[in-house]
Amino acid sequence: MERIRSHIDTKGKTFKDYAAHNAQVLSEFHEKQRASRFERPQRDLDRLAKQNKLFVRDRLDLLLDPGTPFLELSSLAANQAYGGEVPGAAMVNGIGIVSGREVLVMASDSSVKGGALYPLSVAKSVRALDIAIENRLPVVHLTDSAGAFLPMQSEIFPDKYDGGRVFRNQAMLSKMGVPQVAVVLGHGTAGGAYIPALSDYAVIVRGTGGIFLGGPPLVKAATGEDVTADELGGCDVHTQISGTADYPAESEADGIRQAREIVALFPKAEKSVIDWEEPEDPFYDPKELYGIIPDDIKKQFDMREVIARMVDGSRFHEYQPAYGTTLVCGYARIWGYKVGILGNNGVLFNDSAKKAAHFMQLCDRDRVPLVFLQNITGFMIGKDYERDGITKDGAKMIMVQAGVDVPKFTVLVNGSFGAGNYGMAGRAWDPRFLFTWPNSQISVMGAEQAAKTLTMLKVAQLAKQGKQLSPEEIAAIQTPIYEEYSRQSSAYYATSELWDDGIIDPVDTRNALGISISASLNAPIERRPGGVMRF
Amino acid sequence: MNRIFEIGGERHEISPYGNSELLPMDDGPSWLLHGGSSHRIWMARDGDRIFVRLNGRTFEIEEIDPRSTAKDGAAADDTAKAPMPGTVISVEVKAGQTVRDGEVLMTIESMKLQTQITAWRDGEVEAVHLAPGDEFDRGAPLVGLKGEDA
Amino acid sequence: MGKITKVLIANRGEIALRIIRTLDGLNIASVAVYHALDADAPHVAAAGEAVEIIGDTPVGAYLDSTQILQIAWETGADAIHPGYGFLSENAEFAEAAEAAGVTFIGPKAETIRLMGDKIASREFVEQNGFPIAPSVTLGDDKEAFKQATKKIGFPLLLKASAGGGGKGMQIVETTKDLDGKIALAASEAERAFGDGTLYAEKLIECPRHIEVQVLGDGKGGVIHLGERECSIQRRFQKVIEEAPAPGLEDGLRKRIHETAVGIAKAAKYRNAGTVEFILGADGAFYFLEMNTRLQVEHPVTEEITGLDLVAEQIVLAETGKLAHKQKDIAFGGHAIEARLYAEDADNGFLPATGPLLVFKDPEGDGLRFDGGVAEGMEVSSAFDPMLAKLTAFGADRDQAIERLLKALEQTVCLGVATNIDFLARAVAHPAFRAGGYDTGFIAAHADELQPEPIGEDALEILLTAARLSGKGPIAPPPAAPEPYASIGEWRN
Repeated sequence: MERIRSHIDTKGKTFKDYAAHNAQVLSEFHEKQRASRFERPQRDLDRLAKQNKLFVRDRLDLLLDPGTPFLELSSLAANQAYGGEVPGAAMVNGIGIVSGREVLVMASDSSVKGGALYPLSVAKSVRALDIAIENRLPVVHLTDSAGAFLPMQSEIFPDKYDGGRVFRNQAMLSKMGVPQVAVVLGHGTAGGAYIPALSDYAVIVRGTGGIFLGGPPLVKAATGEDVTADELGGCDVHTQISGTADYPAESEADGIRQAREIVALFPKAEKSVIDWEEPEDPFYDPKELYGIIPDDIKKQFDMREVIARMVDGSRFHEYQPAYGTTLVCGYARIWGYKVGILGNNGVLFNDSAKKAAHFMQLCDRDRVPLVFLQNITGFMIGKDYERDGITKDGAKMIMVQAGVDVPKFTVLVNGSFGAGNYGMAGRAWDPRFLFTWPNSQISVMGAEQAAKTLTMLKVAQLAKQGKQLSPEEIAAIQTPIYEEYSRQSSAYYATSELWDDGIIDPVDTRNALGISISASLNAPIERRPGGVMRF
Repeated sequence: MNRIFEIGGERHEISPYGNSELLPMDDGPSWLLHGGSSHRIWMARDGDRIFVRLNGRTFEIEEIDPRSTAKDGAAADDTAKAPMPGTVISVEVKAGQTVRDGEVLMTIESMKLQTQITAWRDGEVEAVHLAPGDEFDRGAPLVGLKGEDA
Repeated sequence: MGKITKVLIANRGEIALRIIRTLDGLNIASVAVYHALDADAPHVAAAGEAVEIIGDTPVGAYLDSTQILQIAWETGADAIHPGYGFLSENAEFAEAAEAAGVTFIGPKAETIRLMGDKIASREFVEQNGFPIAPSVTLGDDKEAFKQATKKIGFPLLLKASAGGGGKGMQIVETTKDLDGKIALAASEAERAFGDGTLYAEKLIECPRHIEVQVLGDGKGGVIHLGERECSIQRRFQKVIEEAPAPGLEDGLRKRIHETAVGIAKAAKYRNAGTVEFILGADGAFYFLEMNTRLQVEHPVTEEITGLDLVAEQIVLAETGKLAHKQKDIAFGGHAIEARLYAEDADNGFLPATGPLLVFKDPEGDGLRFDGGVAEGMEVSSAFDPMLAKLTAFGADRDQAIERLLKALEQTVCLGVATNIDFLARAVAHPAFRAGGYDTGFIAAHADELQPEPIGEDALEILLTAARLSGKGPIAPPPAAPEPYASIGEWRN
């Protein structure tokens, strides 16, 4: 494969301006992430210490193989909800290596509200288990949760994708033959009790671990019975008498060590085989991405330059380079895996939509996973385009994209607006993993355009009633709309709402994708019969 | 869990991971590829005892079970253990008896050599584990003195 | 007397194998006896026939004269070679063999009896005008004995009357230790030789252990085959021996030879034997004891004389005549023998046991390896810990030393602790290279003979090798798959 020839002037003003701007953006992102991961009220940390409990990230250090990577998912979940008091939605999920095995780890963060489950915590759990199901990843649960945050129970309990879905997913994993191990490091009350019960293997720590459908206060209230947590559902009760848990552990370290042994005995992964070669580092420095991404969402850049800083050897085989040029298609390798990349270089026209559909068929037939790099404002609109069937061609692209059997991976590189998000495998289209960059924005249309449009409608409405508005009054209507829109289209809002699997630093994209692709291969890839249609 | 090896009376803890390689040759020795160079060694392992001959010197290494290191501390110092396999010739003391530092507790024989096990401090005999005529292996507990804090 | 056609070797280990080697060369059939623990020993396979012996203890089996004579009768052996140790100096056994019509390849029973009694032998030597070291015997009167020891002076040496090889021997520094040491020595002697009688002897300063190999025809005809130096000892057991003794002034050497021959003549010694002396720093030498058998260290004599001592023994047993005259014996070159023991030389030479996982003997010019064990055998505490003897011969002493050092480096024994490394350090030590050392060598240079501390680099190699030697109690998990292994430690 040939190396992309870059045309970026890394010494030019544009590059330097963008780099300076993005340095800010990234530093803001890293600080937000750091605070979300580590800043806790002292009394919460003291409480943990008094309970003899380890901080969740220390538990992860004990669990994961030393010298291996860990891809954390949705680290900034709930960062814009609940007054910012539930960082990470009180849990740490991610993909890593335990005893040489690729697993999904779901760990309660009991330093946040005792690990209580908020609505977004449930969403984050369900999403993690959906990832486990889609990719057939074994799961290690490190449970230490105070249980559901009762005041918000109506958003936690009853609906299809609420709390019950967590347990339904666990049951489905078991049915699919995907193993799970749970280490009970705190009280698993009510729903929480089902996590170890629905896992194939359960380790429980003496003294701190507990499994009970109703905790001591509830039991006292319901039946008048006086009982301690340990007597009710502690380690010995469940490992010696009831058989609800399998392994007693003397300490958290002991429990996690036992979990590692258990994972070592999981059935060996049977991974799908796709085209793979010895990896090569990108030729161009990934850090140059900071100087390529513009400082304004309206400014254009060449997606090939982004690709060049992400793929093995910066090599890219472009497909149909002269046709449908607003969509870049081609083959490349990421950490050795051959993938088909689709990246936006402008709005989607008829030809680019058709080209995308054609290319995706090729990849699907040849078992080549698809990587979507989104920077899209939408499909082209206008009379000529409608006559040419832009809606029809967009539907072709969506139909093919939705129907491929190869795994899809999406990165929101800059803008993700409107139906372009759909064609380019947005969240609703089940990419196995979807990551965003901190500068990205996502909404049905751009904030400025939306604010203008809505303001225009309001002005027209008032005009019918005979009211004329001054520029200041117009601004007074427009600005709040614009700000609200901006807020709700920022990457931080999106990630807070679990619309993605996490904001990542652009230079980390290659590793994140490498791990994601590897993880996805734990599930089989169907061989699709049929030829490729040239649309 | 780290691996623990004892060499020359000192314990060393090392990571279980690493990318060195051991290539055994047909005629007996092996090549150890480590840190960019290769070393010719002879090595054999029996249970948890590992013997290595490196640069004309023979080393005996014992792999220690990492799970046992934490708990064993207490009893070790108060019991005399057999330095090598042999037979008990005579026992000079019994449980409950007060002994002085240096007092002969028992006599053992191995390879036609007799050794006297003497008290390593003043104290009270807690237990005599063997009787005259009993055979024992290396490391077998022979006589225990009551712990000092007891 | 008469042609020997089949020899039963009443022994085990390296000496049994070595004897069979000579027998094969002379076309004489061999019968080995072995205890179950020795079933895989090389001498069993090497012999023409092998018969299992049983006993309350493994050693006991090899000491069971009745059983062994029975086997000699059953297999039609017309001679028995007793090797060294075990029954070799058991006069009753020698007599029983002769009575049964089986030639005992060794001296007459009465000579064995005489020289086997340390007290009687010393008296005999003294009466015949040869020098002995001042000593006193422990009879029934312990108090008188203790008084007499004061005359000898401290430090003194308590020794077993009934046997040697370091067993039943104790050094006594002061009168305070005397009682305890007497008890210990007597007990050990009782167990090793069945006789707890002791005598006390002056501890000579800077003593050298010099011994002379003799051959006698039993009628007063005796020749010597030169002396050996056996001063490198630990626990009174020889570790390194050489021939000829380095740095001996010619006149002194001659006198020692003549004394040895004189003693053997006086005893009308028959077959092979060794007269042992203690040589003091002042040049005075004293009779220590006579060993009425072939000795462990006989190879060094064979190397410098070119003779096969076992063959000489057989000729003497068959013909009753010495095959050589003294003037025919030519001495050339220098030989050094190192004994490989299964012991922890860095920790008080405590005997070691274990499986012989790897046992590789060295090869090279001038090397002779007498091993009695093979890879796969288990070294147990049932028998003496000597595994093998490594002898190096050279045109001169320096060459012998170089060859021995190279051989020691090549010798590999894994699975049981051995003194191989210690032997190398001892032979390389300047005091050994210079010659003129005495029996205090090992003790005097104990610190210098300690192994070097393990260097950082070596330690790293050892730990890595250990890690790769096996999985250990907690099997390490498999390595991470790709791309995780290549990505390494990374967090987003």
